[in-house]
Amino acid sequence: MREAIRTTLKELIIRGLRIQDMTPGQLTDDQPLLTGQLAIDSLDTLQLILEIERTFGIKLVSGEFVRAEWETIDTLAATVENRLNAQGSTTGFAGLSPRT
Amino acid sequence: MRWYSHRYHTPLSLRIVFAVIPRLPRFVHPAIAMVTAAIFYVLLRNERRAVTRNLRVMTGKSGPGLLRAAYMVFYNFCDFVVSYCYVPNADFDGLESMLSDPDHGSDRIGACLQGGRGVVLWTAHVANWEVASRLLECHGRRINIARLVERGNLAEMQLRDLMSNERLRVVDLSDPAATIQLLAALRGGEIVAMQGDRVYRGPGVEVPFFGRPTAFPSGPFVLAHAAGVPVLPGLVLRTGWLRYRVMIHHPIHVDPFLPRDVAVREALATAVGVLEAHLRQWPSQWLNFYDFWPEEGRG
Repeated sequence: MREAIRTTLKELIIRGLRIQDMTPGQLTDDQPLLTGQLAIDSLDTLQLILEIERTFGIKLVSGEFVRAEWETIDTLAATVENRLNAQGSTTGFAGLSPRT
Repeated sequence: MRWYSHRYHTPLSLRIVFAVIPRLPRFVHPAIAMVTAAIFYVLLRNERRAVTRNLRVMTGKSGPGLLRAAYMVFYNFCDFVVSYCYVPNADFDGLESMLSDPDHGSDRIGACLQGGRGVVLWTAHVANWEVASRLLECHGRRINIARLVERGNLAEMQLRDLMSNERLRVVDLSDPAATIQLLAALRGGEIVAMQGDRVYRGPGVEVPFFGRPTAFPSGPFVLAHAAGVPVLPGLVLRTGWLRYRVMIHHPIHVDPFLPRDVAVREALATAVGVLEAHLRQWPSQWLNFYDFWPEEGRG
């Protein structure tokens, strides 16, 4: 489950941030999200959050912001998994649909 | 960034203000401000020229009238700086005593917050936005002030710390996680206050402003769209020495049924229209000391 989420997140990041010079496979699980090479910021972040929420059918951001959830792709995948578990959708997610 | 960070905006300058001003009777403040404004009007040549050019665009004035309006920007800024001696630590009665009109839009804000929703308060560098920020505390929700705290700018960091309290949190826009914090706050029913008249990053979105296509940040409206909350334009008018009127306008809804970019531009244009109407009446209360239209009036 976690692996499928990680894979989907990587695809969403590459697509959502319009990164041209990397493929999802080149993103590592411990890739920092808010610093370093990706350094996602401002409106890109918002766009990415909405895309993740749409894809997984979850509310990723609500109430208190927890910085630790956003440190790496792996921590974000764990957060997505927790949200899916919390709403009992663990079997509902099977990966990112092909783009049409 | 296009605006100046002038050489007198330092912790030492603030310490001097905070040490001296509260020890003086209030009735001498305006006279001191008049002299201080005159000194900085002369010393800060770049800022004076930029303010004058902005005012020329906004008012169409020239000659002594234009110079006087530019001087008044410096004077109004003195009032704003001095207010930091009182506003951060004032209790609610103290804040209300600074208002020339007791209505500070709480009904309108309260209506937006009904049902546990959050709201974006869209404001600008007009008169004294810090008073309005503190007054928001009466709604019992946490207030998130989104502002850029330039790294290494100790005076800015000092002001940020001064304004923060348990109800009022400054969210630093230079933090890559700022957007997530603000979205979380809005979805949690909190208030997010943003100054919408300076484009910190990116190209912004151009809308008409004083007859010219002018870039403004779209962030407040994109956030409101994502969180499904309204945007409330709120501007402050200085009515006397350390006296203000808070003007909260009708809520703007970023239409969820339109394409996002269209809805954001439409909502932004409405808010900018409110700002323009305000500045047409009180142009010297706009505290922007850089060329807002850099391509204008340099001849």
